[in-house]
Amino acid sequence: MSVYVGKSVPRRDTRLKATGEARYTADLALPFMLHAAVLRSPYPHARLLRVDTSRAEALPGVRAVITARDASGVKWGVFRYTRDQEFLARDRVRYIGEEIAAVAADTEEIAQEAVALIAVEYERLPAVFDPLDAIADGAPRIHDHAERNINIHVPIHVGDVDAAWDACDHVHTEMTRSEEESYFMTEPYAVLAHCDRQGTVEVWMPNASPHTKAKGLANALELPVSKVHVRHVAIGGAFGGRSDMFPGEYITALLSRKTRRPVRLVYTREENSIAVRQGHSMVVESRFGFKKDGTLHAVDVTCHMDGGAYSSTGPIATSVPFLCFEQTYRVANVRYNGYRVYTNKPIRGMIRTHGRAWACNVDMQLDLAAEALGLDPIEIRLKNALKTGDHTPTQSHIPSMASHETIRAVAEASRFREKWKRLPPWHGIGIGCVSVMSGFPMGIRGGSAAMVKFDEDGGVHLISGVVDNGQGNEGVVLQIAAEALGVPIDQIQLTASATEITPIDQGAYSQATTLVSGNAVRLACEDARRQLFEVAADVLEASAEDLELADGKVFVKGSPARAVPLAKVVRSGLLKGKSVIGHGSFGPNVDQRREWIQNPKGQLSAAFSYGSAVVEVRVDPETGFVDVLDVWASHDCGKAINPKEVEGQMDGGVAMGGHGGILLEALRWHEGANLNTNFLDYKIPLAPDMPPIHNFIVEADDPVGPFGAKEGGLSISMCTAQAYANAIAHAIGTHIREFPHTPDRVLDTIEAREGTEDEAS
Amino acid sequence: MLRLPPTRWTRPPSLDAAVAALGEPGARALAGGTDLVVALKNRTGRPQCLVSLADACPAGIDTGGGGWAIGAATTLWDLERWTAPPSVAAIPEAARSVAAPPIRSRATVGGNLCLDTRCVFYNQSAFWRSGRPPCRKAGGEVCHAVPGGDRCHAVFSADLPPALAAVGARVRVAGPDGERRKDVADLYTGQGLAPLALAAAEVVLSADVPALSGRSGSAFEKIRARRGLDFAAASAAVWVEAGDDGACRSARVVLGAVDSGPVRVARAEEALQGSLLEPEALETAADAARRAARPVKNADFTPAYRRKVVGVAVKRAASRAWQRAVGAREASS
Amino acid sequence: MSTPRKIVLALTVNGQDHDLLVEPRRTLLEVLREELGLTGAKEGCGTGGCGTCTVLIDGRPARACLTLAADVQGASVLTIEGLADALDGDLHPIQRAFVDAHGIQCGFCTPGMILTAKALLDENPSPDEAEIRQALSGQVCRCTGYAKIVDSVQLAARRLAGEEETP
Ligand SMILES: Cc1cc2nc3c(=O)[nH]c(=O)nc-3n(C[C@H](O)[C@H](O)[C@H](O)COP(=O)(O)OP(=O)(O)OC[C@H]3O[C@@H](n4cnc5c(N)ncnc54)[C@H](O)[C@@H]3O)c2cc1C
Ligand code: SF4
Ligand code: FES
Ligand code: FES
Repeated sequence: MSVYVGKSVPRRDTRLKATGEARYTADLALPFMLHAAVLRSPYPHARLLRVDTSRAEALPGVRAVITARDASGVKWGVFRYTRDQEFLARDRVRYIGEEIAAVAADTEEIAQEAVALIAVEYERLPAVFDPLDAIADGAPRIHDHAERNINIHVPIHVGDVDAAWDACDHVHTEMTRSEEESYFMTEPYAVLAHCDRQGTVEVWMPNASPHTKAKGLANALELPVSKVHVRHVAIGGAFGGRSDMFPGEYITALLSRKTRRPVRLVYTREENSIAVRQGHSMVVESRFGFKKDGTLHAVDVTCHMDGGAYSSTGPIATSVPFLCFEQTYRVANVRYNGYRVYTNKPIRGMIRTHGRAWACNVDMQLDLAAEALGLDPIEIRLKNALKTGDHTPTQSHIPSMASHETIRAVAEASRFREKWKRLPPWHGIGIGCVSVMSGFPMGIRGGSAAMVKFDEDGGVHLISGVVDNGQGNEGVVLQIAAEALGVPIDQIQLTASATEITPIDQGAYSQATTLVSGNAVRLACEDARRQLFEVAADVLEASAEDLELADGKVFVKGSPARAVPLAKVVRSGLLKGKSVIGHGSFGPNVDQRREWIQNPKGQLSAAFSYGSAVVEVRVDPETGFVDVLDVWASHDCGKAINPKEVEGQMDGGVAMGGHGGILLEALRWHEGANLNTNFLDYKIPLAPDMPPIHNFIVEADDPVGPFGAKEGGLSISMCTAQAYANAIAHAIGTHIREFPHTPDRVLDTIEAREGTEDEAS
Repeated sequence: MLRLPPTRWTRPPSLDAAVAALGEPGARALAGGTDLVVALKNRTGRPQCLVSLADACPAGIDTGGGGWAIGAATTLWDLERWTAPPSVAAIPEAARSVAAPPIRSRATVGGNLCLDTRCVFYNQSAFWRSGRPPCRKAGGEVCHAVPGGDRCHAVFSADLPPALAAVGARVRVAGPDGERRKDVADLYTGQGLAPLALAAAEVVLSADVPALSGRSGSAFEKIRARRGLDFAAASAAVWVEAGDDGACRSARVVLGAVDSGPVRVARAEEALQGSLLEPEALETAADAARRAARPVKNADFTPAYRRKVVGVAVKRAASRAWQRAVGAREASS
Repeated sequence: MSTPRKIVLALTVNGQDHDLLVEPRRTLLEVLREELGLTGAKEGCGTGGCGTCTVLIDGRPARACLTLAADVQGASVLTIEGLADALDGDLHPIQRAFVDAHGIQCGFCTPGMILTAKALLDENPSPDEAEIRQALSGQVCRCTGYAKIVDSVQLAARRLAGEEETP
């Protein structure tokens, strides 16, 4: 019986956030601090002929100006083979917003004014903004190394797709497109850096992996990792958009190194939109083959993603939509060609619902096949959903997956079968399913470790590399620690994401935190417990195996009166020269030989979650607006460490993936310039827009996850997107092939359909 | 942080002092600041002195003289709480549809009436605009929304003016030459570049709403991307009056956000007059509105879409206005 | 152009009077964060679209990023830092409700959200769900999907009305 795990205890950090006490990076100030501003390219593609900083340097109050001349020239890319980005452009800029120079000054106004005084002579170069244009003959080449501007090609082929079509009874081809989505975390990017005369660099910034930042920054600054201390700070959202390295931290650190003063750089909302990361736009062509009974037999997908000007997480981004598909539905013959293409647009990264055109294409294919084969949408999904014990085409074993349970949960709660094809005109209902991995191979940064130490009064210190972007990771490890130790949460002090102290951790990335970092914390606590029992065995004159720890007391199993408070155990240990320090280290069982491009096979992740959603809508046939009546979401997250927090992730997923992703959100462009960089023009859902959400947590305890936990929420973000799209299709009688389904597109589709019906009649 | 450019600020204690201050070169009126401050941060306006009108213009709704004088300094927060009779119900309805409560708390009626036209190629940061030649509204020669176009098509998307025009309100304006009144419709030039027909140093003092027949109703309908914050992609305000025979005796139809000023649509009004606002009449009015609209590619959604839905907005506003008119008639008889 | 002269500002923030010498171009948000060290109000956008800078001016929620500090002289400004002080406990009941009902994730929207909720509950102590969502329609939250924020406001309303005990 768990005492702390599985309970919806309020999160500790939220007390600070409710009172304004929580400090985000832009809230921090150090004595003698300078303020930075960055000069960015206003052009999508240009050669830099001359960068003259003299007038900026002469402005009173300016303390330093840097350009590529001051930079190490080390290039960034997540993989050795994708290092293509310098943090300050040397001779060429490839997107609007690319960093050219930066200033540190006494005030932010002076820094901004100085930036305007830097004279740059550009030679404009032809630019390309669409991935299909970029791979066409004669397109301008963006990087010398990339022929046809292809940045990444992920080829996967399992079985024999070409031979498989003959065995299919229903074969259908679909083309879908999606525009870029954007993160719009409420906190704009910011960095505070201080290089001192010992040669150490302290840095604060919103991030999803302090240890990745420390390593990247150490490389770029040509310092040992031990000299770069990424510090803990409150973080205002990430959603995939804080994951890799950005020029901001390098530039700020360099300015601090040059001035020997702390420097703070705070991005504007526009900078956060164009100069951090954006989602990929995609063009997806799919061919699906089914057998008469609804069995999915063959799949061939080609996807072109607009990667923007640099690689970032390229190989991963190119693969993940495929992986989410192959974990969700069983298929014997499958081929995938994923291309990530360079364009002269801002750099793209992974975003919560990465690949809506991909994921929705899959569920559209399933609905169309069901229709053709006389099945209903639920049946065809139950028939093809992967289950516990199955393998994916690229050879991952699935240790736990309550796919059928989640599908049934939402189908029953929504009364899907009663409503399917029986709703009033312009009403529709749709379902979507997806499975998400809890972590994937990340080499030396794929594991996590934790430590637990004790104060003489029985207080507990937990030290873990986890980082909390708002999703509650700190709360998760605290609850796990409390459970594993048998100590109330309030007695545990957490030190997290401070690279000087915390051991390497993979970060809040790939949905691995709960499983990987959580397990490290569990193991550290179990280790500490074992040591405490050894000490307490002497005090209680009992054998260590017979001891138990609960409510901060060690006692003999079955006779709780024979107890000694934790504080006393700790002190007895100290008297004997034994300071109890628990240590736990965890590496997930993934195939380290698996590689995104060269070798995409083997165990991808230790665990796989599952999500299913049903959505009911009413479409206004005159305006194309979609009124979402209800959303039912069901999630196999393994054990829910904190059910209310899991629900919070599910709600957020419905908003971002479903409502925003399908109805509202898209970046708009004018010759490579992003037209909607702010909260007014980029439409993220508002409180009155959101429908009622009915959540169902299905706990298929995972054998590996801590107390059975996997990931929370991401699968809901994706499957709700699919369900939204299918519900709209049901309401208007046809699928819309472009995402998002904004009212103008919905209305155009309705009118086009009415037009063809008129012709037919 | 987005910073404001250096500027002076003054808060004249009276209307006369304000008019005088506004006569200085580089002076600009500041009311709630909810639009002007954004413009300053984007450097689309660079006044040398901001003249706060807080003590110069009246605030609140004055009921003397048979109608209502809505002071220019009245906040939209207060205006949306006005329990207006059905004849002018479009006014609080329009106020309620502006932005969001924490903006309406400071946004004023005067600022809404004098809102600048908007364009997605113009309402951008100085950095954004630096990457291309300045457009006409920014003092240049080109238009990014309508390449080759010979004028600025920036869109007028304030929500109160269509509602005020539909109920036949007039504005009271004061300037160096004293006070004058004009129809709300005449406050606008229809030009994207300079949308207001105001002379230098003139300020709007109030919107004067006439007392209208007890058998009339008005409504405002706004099509926007989300249920908050967003400017209209298209809007319509309709006022209708029921005659003794139960049919519509007179009507006023004004569109918002589909041109560089509010657009009054006489043909839509004709379609409603004499009708019972049955579907055919509404459809005719909607078509007339669609023909009168001149949206271009510079706001939310495609121009073709905005043209279509401005018709829907007319139908919905007209139906609701008619229900109010008929309801009011029944209540009074 | 010569730099315009600084002006003397008399501001009342969280019940405390301040005399400040600032440039007239200063927004209320800049003054709160940079002159008074009250960083609870955030700049999520600076152009009115997000609501993270929302504070109460004379009891009404307002965008501090669009308000000139000079324009709020004589008014009373309440920031998130001033909300709890007014009462005995360490958290105001609305703050406590946001914690208890899991209405906070990353927390960046929270100060503006809580203050906007306070203005709503002061005017309308028992709002229905639609009224709550409308009142919050200018406060963007990217994390929560608003469901538990609405729960939090409802919980706060019940507790303030004495219908439910605070544990
Ligand atoms: C996020 C956001 C969303 C918005 N959404 C909407 C919306 O949906 N609908 C809408 O209509 N508006 C919207 N606005 C714009 C703005 O908030 C409103 O139009 C508001 O009513 C403007 O009033 P104000 O008092 O703040 O004007 P200010 O910004 O102070 O002034 C606006 C203009 O009017 C002039 N002016 C002000 N008062 C007078 C006067 N008495 N006489 C002469 N000139 C004067 C000023 O010089 C300035 O040019 C939005 C703004 C933001 C930031
Ligand atoms: S319509 Fe043309 S000229 Fe007018 S603001 Fe837009 S781009 Fe500039
Ligand atoms: S900072 Fe976004 S509204 Fe003020
Ligand atoms: S909790 Fe993160 S934005 Fe609201």
